[in-house]
Amino acid sequence: MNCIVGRFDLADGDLSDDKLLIDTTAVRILGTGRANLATEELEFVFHPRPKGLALFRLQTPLRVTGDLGNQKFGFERSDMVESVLRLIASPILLPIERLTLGPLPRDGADVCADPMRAVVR
Amino acid sequence: MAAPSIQIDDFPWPPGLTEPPAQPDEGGGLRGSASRLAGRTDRLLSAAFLRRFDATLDVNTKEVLSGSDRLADGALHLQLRDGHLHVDPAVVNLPGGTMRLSISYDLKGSEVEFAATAQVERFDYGIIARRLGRAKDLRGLFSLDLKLKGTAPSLDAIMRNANGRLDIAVWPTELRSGVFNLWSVNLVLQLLPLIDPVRSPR
Repeated sequence: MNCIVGRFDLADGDLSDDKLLIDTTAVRILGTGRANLATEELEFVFHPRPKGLALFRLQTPLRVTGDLGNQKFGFERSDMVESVLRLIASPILLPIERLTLGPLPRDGADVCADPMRAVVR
Repeated sequence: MAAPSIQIDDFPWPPGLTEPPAQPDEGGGLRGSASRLAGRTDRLLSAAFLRRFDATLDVNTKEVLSGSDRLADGALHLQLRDGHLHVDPAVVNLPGGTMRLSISYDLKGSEVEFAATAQVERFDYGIIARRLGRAKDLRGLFSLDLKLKGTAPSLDAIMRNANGRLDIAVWPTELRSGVFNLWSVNLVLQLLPLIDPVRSPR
């Protein structure tokens, strides 16, 4: 495990992500979503992206729903179908993804070295 | 007030401020505790109490002890003027690092105006966990940057209308990432043992 980073903005009780990630030497998981502190409802999606040569990998997004006191974790059928299609097409998609997004460093230095936002005093 | 040493055990909580007994239907967990703490703080920081006097309090201590354990050192500047409570800064130097906090609390009519900031930079939480005897193999660093501002009828409702930001970063050194790595599993390597049972996947 390299690091876990959560950067959130809060506007009128609505908590939304600025950056949410879990970085390990083998995979980086990016999260997006929001939690409403008034209604206590939350909705987050976590997408894994493997590091290195990652052909034929199943990368189904994990969805977190429910409320702050009772979270539900699950995979959606449409996400599973999409991830299977991506797995089959990975010899074509991965080189394109690598060219457009760039390789991910194993040590997560690009996101773990200085993950906090600058402090404005 | 300056003291080379403060013994926590010399300051027991006054009976009126101690936690009321939990009701059977009272919510548990972190949110329940936060709500009870906010309610208790609301009772303590009532308008009648805060507007009774003005005060300035400066505390500097070189060590805070609990029994024979050295917990921290730190400084606190607190000002109460016209019912407006202002704490800036409250700095605590613990064995794992430094925590800095500032709080502003103002009662305006029937509403509470609250603002808080907190900063923790690369705090070694393993030292505290080991000191509390919670986990011997828990190691890592932790950073926090919190800015919070809100107005609400009571302190426990502040978060429902609050604005600000929260940054958290954790660098665990003893946390295995196997469960996350499995998430992006290579199906070909996992299915290989079915075809060739002698060799296990790498």
